[in-house]
Amino acid sequence: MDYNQDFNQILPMIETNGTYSQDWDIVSSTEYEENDYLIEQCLYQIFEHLSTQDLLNVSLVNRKWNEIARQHLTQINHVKVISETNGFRFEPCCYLPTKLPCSRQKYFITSLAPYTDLHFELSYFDQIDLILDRLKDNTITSLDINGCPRNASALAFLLRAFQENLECLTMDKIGCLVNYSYDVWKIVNSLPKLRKLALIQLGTIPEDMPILEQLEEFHLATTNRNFDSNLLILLLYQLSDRLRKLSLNLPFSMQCFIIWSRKQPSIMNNITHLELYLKSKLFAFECVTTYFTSLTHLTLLLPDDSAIYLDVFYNLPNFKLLRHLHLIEDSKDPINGLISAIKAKTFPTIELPSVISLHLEVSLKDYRTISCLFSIFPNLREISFKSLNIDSYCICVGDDSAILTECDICRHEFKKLLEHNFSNIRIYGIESDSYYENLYAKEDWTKCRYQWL
Amino acid sequence: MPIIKLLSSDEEPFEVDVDIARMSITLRTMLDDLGIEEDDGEPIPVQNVNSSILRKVIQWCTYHKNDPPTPDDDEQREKRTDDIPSWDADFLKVDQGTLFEIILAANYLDIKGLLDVTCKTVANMIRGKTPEEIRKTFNIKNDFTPQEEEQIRRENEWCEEK
Repeated sequence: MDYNQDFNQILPMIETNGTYSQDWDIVSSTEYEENDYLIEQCLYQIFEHLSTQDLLNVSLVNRKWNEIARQHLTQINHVKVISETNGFRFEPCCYLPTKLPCSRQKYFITSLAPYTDLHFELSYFDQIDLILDRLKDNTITSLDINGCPRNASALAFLLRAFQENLECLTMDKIGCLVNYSYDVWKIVNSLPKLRKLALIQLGTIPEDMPILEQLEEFHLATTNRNFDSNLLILLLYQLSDRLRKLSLNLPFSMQCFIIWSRKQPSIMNNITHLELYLKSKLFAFECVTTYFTSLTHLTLLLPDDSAIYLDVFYNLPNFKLLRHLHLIEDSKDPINGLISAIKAKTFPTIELPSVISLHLEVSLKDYRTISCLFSIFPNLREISFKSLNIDSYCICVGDDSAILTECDICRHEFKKLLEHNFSNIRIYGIESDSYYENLYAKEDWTKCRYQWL
Repeated sequence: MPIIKLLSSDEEPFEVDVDIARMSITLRTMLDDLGIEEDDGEPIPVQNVNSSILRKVIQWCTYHKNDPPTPDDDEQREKRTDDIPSWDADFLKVDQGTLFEIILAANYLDIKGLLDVTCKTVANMIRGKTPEEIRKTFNIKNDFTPQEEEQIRRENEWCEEK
């Protein structure tokens, strides 16, 4: 055996010729395939110990090494990394290599094919060419753009890159597009598969905005108190009767919404999902029930005002198809509008048998209020509400309606709740997400439930 | 201590403690499948490993016979290359041909610890080198065209340290 020859001298011989040097007598040419496989496997294992930078260098050595190095570079491309400091932040649906240096994350858009959701922050649009190069043949269907590009046409370029597959587009804080946004809207409108558009913190819209014909779902949200309500009306006029879901979260009253509703009743008739985070006014709700005759899902932000609640409950029976009702009270005061309304003598005697799901973001002092609601919603299968009385918050989830509480006072009313045979119950603490901190092991829920029943 | 006989590819017999032979998953499986617990006169052929390499492998296994088992969950372990024990480092001060043969043998015999330490040794020879230096170190011919090389450089751009 001649070991004067470096082992790595064998590799190029195998790779290029498929035969070995005459000096190398370990394997014969008939054993080539098996040993070639072994060599690849060994190289693969050797490369496991290399950093990304070393792998990149290795990938330039020769074809065989490149092929094996790439397997590693691809392999580490399956770990979630969200960069908070760089231009691109990839939300959980997209992945970056673990070894990628932070300073380079803004460049990294590769192997997009497996991903369907992508989130951008548009502060590095100087590298638009590089980005677009990486975006070739992507299969992204959902894009979330956050921020305003320095370059006026960058956003339009970006949208074109997603033209083929994009179904859902969220644009957040693109306010300064005021002077050149028409092009953007034109492209938005030309995305052939776009069905869902969400505009968040929108500054303004162009007066000659095209009709958004293909949209089935539209969300508009802004906290800008200077947002011109006339622009909202203008924007709503651009929606078509394809629209099925509408969500408005704006800092002004329902008045402009009502103006629009009266002008385009044909669109209202087709909408099945409506979310209104607007400042409600007395008697405004009647208009909603008049025009939105096909609603199955309704979400309303309501003030701490029993008169408004009474207005809502008087009009709710007009929604013959309503199945999911979500009421959010714009107050943290425990003496809330819903309780006051229910206790009022003028509270209507109504029954809403179609409603199967009730979500109350309302702080309830006791469960008697809930019991009162059972007569209104006799067919409820799901309920959720906040509780003020429970020290250790309750969570009741799943098919077995398991319930946990350490509050003695509430057990009786809880038992009543259970008798309603819900498939899903959630009870929140005062802070809406506090129940997450109080998750108990499922065994404990079951134990508690059996103990009570 | 029960002994078994191994036969290298060039037909040199080696007497080895069963426990040492069983450090190789390949041999362990073979022994278990054949129900061999000690030498029954028939040497076990190790066809892909010649005598000089098998001798080295047995030497390594003998030294490491009392080591704790290597964890299986490779993914969970940090890939370090600076943790090669000094005995192993000295043991692997061999020419590249021998080192390569030991890797192949460790891979064939499925001796995880030996494979790990030999791969790390080679990885250390690669680490920090430019592609040209790597080629020179391992005497590898560049079979890329300049255009292909440029293309790869551009593709790699996204994650190069700058």
